[in-house]
Amino acid sequence: MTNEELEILINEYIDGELDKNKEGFLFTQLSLNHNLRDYFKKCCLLKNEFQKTTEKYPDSLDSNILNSLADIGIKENIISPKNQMQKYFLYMVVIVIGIVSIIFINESSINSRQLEKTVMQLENQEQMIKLLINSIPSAEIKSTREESIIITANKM
Amino acid sequence: MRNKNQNIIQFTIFYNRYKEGLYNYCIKMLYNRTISQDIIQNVFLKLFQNMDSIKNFDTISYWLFKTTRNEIFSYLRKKKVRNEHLEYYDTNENENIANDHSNYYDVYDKKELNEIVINELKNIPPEQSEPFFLKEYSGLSYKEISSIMDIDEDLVKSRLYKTRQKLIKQLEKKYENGDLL
Repeated sequence: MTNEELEILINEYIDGELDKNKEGFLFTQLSLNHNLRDYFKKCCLLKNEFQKTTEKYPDSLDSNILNSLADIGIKENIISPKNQMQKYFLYMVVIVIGIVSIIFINESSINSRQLEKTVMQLENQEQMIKLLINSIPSAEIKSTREESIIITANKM
Repeated sequence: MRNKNQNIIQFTIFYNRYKEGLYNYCIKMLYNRTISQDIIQNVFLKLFQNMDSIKNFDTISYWLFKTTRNEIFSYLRKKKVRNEHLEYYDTNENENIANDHSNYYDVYDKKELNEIVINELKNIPPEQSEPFFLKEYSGLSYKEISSIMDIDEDLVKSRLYKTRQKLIKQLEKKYENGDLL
């Protein structure tokens, strides 16, 4: 392995990305190679020094963000009654539609029952008519001539 | 579905955990405190508004740094500073940024090693130093950084290595006599 490849391994180790299997190999190389140890120390030093350049998070930004969040909260509260009104209105509409549909269903069932009754009545009347027709006595017409003509009615 | 109180608690945890890293990442990218503060404010407002829609909190640091990066580049595009930056990437000259924000690093005047690190970072093209900032401030993996920056994972590794090499060289120059360590 070249020096550069070993240095890349050190970088990976510092970044917490080095494969656990390679750690043993890296530490062995570190114990053998003085330059590599030097580079490792410099990387650690650099990491520490860079961390020191971290700026403190400003308090003013804290309060700005909190105020903005409070504004969002107020807006939500202002908006929410409207939403609630809309909700109630929708509930009302749903209830009205429900009542109207129940009335329609009721009406249609009444109508269908009436229709059935009418059909029944019609059937009864039809049977009555048939019975009346059947109850009429048969009529025979006889001619007085030699060639007799017999007309019979109501013979089923 | 989380309720409002749970969201507020989660938000507070994330805010306290990531605010400093995001703020410093932003500053290192823009060299401007005021703009950085505006961007951080926007990012956390977006987080608060999207708490319900974020399904997986395990990747929240990725979400935050990605959103911050988008905000940074959106700002650069809006102000047409992006072109200057691209030019800067090519020419490797950052005098304009350094001059514009010459007072920014005054805080570090007395800290010699910090000063060297900061000054050298100004000389490194942003596209090369960005993985270094992301790694140091977010602790994201190479894979996540490559996804945020939309570049190859090996390129992230190589840029991190090169940035460290440059910074270490500068530290060595400062202490040529060998009293660095």
